[in-house]
Amino acid sequence: MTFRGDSPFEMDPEFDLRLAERLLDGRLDAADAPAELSDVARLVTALRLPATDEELAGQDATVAAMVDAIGAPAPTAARRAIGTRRLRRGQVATLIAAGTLLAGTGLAAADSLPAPAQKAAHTVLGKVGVPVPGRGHSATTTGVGPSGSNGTGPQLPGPALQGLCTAAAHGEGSVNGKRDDTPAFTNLESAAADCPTTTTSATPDSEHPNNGTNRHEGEPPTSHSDHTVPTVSQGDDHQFGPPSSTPAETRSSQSGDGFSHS
Amino acid sequence: MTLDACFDDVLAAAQTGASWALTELYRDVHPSVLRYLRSQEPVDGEDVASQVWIDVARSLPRFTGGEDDFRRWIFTIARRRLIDVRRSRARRCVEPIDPSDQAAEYESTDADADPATTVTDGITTADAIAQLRAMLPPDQAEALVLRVVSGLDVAQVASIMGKQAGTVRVLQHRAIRRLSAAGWRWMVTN
Repeated sequence: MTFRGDSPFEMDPEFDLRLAERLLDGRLDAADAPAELSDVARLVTALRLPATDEELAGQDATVAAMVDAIGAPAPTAARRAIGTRRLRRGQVATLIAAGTLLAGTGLAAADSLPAPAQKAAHTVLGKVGVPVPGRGHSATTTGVGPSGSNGTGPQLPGPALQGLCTAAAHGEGSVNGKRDDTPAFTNLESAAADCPTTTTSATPDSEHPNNGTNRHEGEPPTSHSDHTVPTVSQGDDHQFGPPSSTPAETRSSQSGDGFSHS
Repeated sequence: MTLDACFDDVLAAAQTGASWALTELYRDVHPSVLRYLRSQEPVDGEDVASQVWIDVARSLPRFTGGEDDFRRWIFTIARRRLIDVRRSRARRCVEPIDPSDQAAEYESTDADADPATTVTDGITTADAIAQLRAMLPPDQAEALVLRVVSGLDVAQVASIMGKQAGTVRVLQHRAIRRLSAAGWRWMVTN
């Protein structure tokens, strides 16, 4: 849709912009307007005529509605703020509960809870299909060193496990060692005894087919490499040859405490 | 008609919900708002104006500013309500109404009985709005009506329309030039 006058070529160079501004501002009466703007001046003046009764017919109803709107408490900022605070409280409580549940589950899965809590977690989470160790750590098992007041040693598994296994392989039954007196060995043995399926995890050297299979109790290790547990965990197990015995034989050659007694 | 020096007192009372003050504000601004709305939506203008005043009342306690600010604020709300109405209509696929029918619908003023129309040769406000709608593109008609009925300057009208002041000024000048050249009186007498 096009309108005459939109094209710049049709613009009247004599068009007085200042006169137009006076007209729009109401500073140019129709009687004083030049002939070319007299009709427009009358039109603009008609737009500025005083209000008619028809235009103000809805005054009473509208003002009453405005009074109600100003007095209505519903949309006030204070009420919205209360709702927002309630919502935020609920969100914070939900987040705390979720965080506590996740943290508790994680600690239970890591077997890091005190014994009563660990047993409770084992019972509850076991019902929903989440495997959680049930033995738990007593308050004294959290100590890293063997200097715990209750005679407990380092946690299992961990780097200390490899050291323990190595020491067990080298010093089992030795007269110089006091293996059986140390809480670390006690823990290691009890962990292996509690869970026969974790025998291999409790005795990393048993993962290797060659480890402990051809030795008999009381015999010294044939080579140092056979008892160097860290080599197993470092992925060097492929340097060894095929097993010389079946896994069943391997298990049978081990003592009941879960790790091989060479 | 403006409240001028009384505006601050009237506004303060209106913000507390005083009926008399709200009436003063309504009588001062409503005719202008209604004319603007009718120039854009002749049929729905009255309803939109009512919505505008309710919106104004809800936010009035938090309003700060002078009389010009108040008028600009109301016309800004009015323009937004117009946009809402048009969007709602577009979603409902309502058939547009013939502008000539729209003009006749609210033309209730008898020009012969209104002495104010003597300075306009009997042309009523409804006549003027009808001619503007018939002869001008929508953006030119809106710019011209807003400038004339609101009593605001170009910059404030531009703020209401969301345009640059220069753009609004060009729209208004083109509208005047077109009305001057086209002879709007022909449409009134026919």
